Amino acid sequence: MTYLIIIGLILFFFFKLVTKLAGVNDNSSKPRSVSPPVNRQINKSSTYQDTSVYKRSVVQASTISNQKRTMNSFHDESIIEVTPEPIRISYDSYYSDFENRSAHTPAYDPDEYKLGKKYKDKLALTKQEVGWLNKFWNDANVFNSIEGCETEIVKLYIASIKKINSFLKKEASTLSREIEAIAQKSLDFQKSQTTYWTDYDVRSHKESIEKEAFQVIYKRCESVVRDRWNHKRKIQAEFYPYSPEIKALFDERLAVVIDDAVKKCSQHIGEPDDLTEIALNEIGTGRWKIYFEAIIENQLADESATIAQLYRLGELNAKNSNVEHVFYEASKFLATRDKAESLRFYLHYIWHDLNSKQVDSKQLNKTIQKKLFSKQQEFEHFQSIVDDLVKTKDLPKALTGVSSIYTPKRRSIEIDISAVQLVERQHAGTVSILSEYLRDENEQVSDNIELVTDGELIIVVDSASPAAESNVDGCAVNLSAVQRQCLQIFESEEFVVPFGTIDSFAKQNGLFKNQLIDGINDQCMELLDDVLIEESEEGFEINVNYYKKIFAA
Amino acid sequence: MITNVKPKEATAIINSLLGGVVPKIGVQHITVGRSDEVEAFLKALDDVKNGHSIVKFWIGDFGSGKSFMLHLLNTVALKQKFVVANADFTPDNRLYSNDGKAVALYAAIMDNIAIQTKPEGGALATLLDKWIEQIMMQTATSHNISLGEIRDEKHSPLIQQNIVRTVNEITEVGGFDFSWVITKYYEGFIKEDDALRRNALKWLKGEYRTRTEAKQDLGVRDIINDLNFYDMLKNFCKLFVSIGYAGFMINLDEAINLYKISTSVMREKNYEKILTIYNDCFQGKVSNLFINFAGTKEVLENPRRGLFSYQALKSRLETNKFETLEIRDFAQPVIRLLPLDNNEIFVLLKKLKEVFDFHYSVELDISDSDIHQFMEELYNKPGAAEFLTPREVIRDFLNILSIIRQNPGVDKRKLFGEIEIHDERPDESIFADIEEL
Repeated sequence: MTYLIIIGLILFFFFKLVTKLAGVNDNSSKPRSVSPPVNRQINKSSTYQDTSVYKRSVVQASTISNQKRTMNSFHDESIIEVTPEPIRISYDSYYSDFENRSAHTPAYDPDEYKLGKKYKDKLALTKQEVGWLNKFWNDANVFNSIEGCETEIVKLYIASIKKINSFLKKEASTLSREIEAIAQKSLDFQKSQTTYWTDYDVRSHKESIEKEAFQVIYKRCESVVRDRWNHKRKIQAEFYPYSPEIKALFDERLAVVIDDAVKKCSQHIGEPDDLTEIALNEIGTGRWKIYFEAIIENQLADESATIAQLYRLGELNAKNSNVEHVFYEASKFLATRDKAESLRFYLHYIWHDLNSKQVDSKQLNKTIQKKLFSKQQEFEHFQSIVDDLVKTKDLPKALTGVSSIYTPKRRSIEIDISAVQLVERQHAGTVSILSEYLRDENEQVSDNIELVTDGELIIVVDSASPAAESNVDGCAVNLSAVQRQCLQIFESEEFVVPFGTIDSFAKQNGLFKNQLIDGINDQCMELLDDVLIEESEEGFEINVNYYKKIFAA
Repeated sequence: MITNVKPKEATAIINSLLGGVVPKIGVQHITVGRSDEVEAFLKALDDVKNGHSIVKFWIGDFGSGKSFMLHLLNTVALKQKFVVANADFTPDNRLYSNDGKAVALYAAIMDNIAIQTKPEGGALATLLDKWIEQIMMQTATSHNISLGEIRDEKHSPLIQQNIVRTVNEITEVGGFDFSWVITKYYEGFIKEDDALRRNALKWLKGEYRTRTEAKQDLGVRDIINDLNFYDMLKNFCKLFVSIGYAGFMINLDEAINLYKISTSVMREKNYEKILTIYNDCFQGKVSNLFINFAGTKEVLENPRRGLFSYQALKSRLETNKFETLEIRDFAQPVIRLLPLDNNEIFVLLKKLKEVFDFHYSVELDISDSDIHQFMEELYNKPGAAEFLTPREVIRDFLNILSIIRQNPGVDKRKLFGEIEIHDERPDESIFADIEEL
């Protein structure tokens, strides 16, 4: 019963309140009472195109909701508290903790993820250097995401800014002042374009120009490091202001100085460490070719050193998806230099190829195979090693097997005694026949020339007209008196006689020069088995030893 | 102990082989394992002496003994009273050309003409002098003129008449100019005009490049050129025979240079010239001419660039189909020189040891077993299978004998172990780059 009375009272007051509110609305705007604002708000989509209506209805709705919110604060005596005693929310503890909030929740730091903060401790940077690095947000890319690369860029960036300042100091300026001037110019330009400017806009614009300028320096440093470390993908490192005039001003005042400074400082760029190399080769899959060409061009006298360099190149490309090609090319290169190493590199290629996404199984071409395998056995041996590697993927085992391919197998020479005896008999026969041919002619040939015409012997002239005399005066050869006189001429002329002298002597004795000389040579041939008198540029010449031999007796 | 070697021969053999060249004398003592080949060429020499003409192709790989055989041929032929000329084909010397390369080969042949008393070449002048002297003696005898008087100028027409008659008898093509120049040579000979003799010799050696120049110097209308040089060689062959020589032997080595001619038309023209020579010789169109070509198997058999690429030559030079490695036929125009086998090398080294002992009058402590071991060490050296040649085996063996002779206490086996083999082959990689034009 009591509950019914209470519900009835509530409904009564609610009705009264609604009636009162309706009266207020009627006074402020009559037409809007046609449709309730709540309904309008619900039907917002249907009237989305009529924006003025929509705005009005939103304003009305917010008014009502405000009234509703403030309703609880009305002190209406007619309303009695029927709910149990409410528990008030206490904000004291919350607000009292606010003072110590930093102890639990870190305060917002705008430089949290900037390079200055990142490298402050790592590179022991000064406050100013940190400031230079915090001037901009670093846009990460595959290159500068590699820690070694980023560190090198940061070092170059700081060194370059110092160098830029030292350049500008000569002109009694600094980098900050130059950027400030450019920013001011840019600001002036921007102000001329629009009318509405606040302090915030001014500050923001200047900061934007400053950020852009420092980022240009950083990007140029990155570009140089990329180039030095053979990362071929280029990046944009241009200053992009709001107007061409500002860009021209930047280029005129700073671009050249920046480039000079970066160039000078770039001399100190070091070599990437192994981790960086590996990472660079991972992102640049063709980068190894540059280093491969360099190794080939600057081959060391010590072949093993070149081989070691090639292996190291392979190691540095461990994460390169094209690493197998490094070993394949090295194998081709070494084919003419070190056959065993060439095969080992080829096995490395096979192994990496097997472990790659796509198996190419490239063969060494025929020319290289010819160079590598002089025997079929060698080829077959290597083929078995390759087959085993493909099956087991056991690279160390395969590499060990290569050494045995070129190990010389000792060849035993079989000597067949009966065959040797046969060869000796045949040789004896050959010597006999040849000696006969060689000897017979000596005996048969005299200095007499037989002229043969139509198969008939028509003339025989004895060149040594005076009959050959027997062995006298200790001469070992039967020579005629004229021939002996001729040899005496040689002796008196120290064994070299001009052609003319012999010709005159021959004429005096009714002979011809060649006839006389040939006669002497033929007579002596049997004893000397060689020519006694030879022609030289100065005339006829005699071998002194032969002469002594003839007259030794 | 060897008995049939003369001391001079022993000296020549040891000294020459140590220097890596074939000895001038005594070569028969080191001709091991070539009995059949020797018999074949002796038979050929006899045939040529008897008026036949022969062409032989000596085919073998690097180190098979082509040059040795040509040298042996030379030595025997000179002794057998042949006029011998050696020349190599080069990129600038060939059998057919229209830019002077063929006449350059002719000039090289004529420059290298050798006879027994002038074995080093340059014997053309001597031969001509001899011939003129013969003509003079013949004229003197037939006209009862003493040898002292025959030089008188009044007898010149008689001698010139004889010269022209003989030349006309022996020449077929270009005889007029040939006899004219020979007569000029005679004039120079009799008048002791060296300039005239030199010019005549220059013409005969094919060294005149223009007709104008030749006409100015000698009054002759034509010169020896790319087209007529082979006729001149035939003329000379007959002249040499008429002087009393057994024949004219021409050895042409390095036939690979014909194979290397890049223009197929020009290569075929050269092969056509070989065919002409071959036909002339075997059809009896020329007498007492012996021509030897030496080259590798590739030069003969390559179907694209070798002699076999020219069908007419292929049908003539193809191997007797009944010939095998065991049953050989050395009567063919092509003689294939197979490498010496181990037994032959063994005998050769034994002979060399005997010759060495004989030369130095020592008895070195090198047994057959040592020779066997030396061979085994050598053949097991890296590269032995590819490029070890008898030349290197002989040189290394003699070097070791030389060391042992001078250092009797030295360890033989250590010396055998220290041998190194070097690739002495010509660089043939360039052949791979020859482009067909």
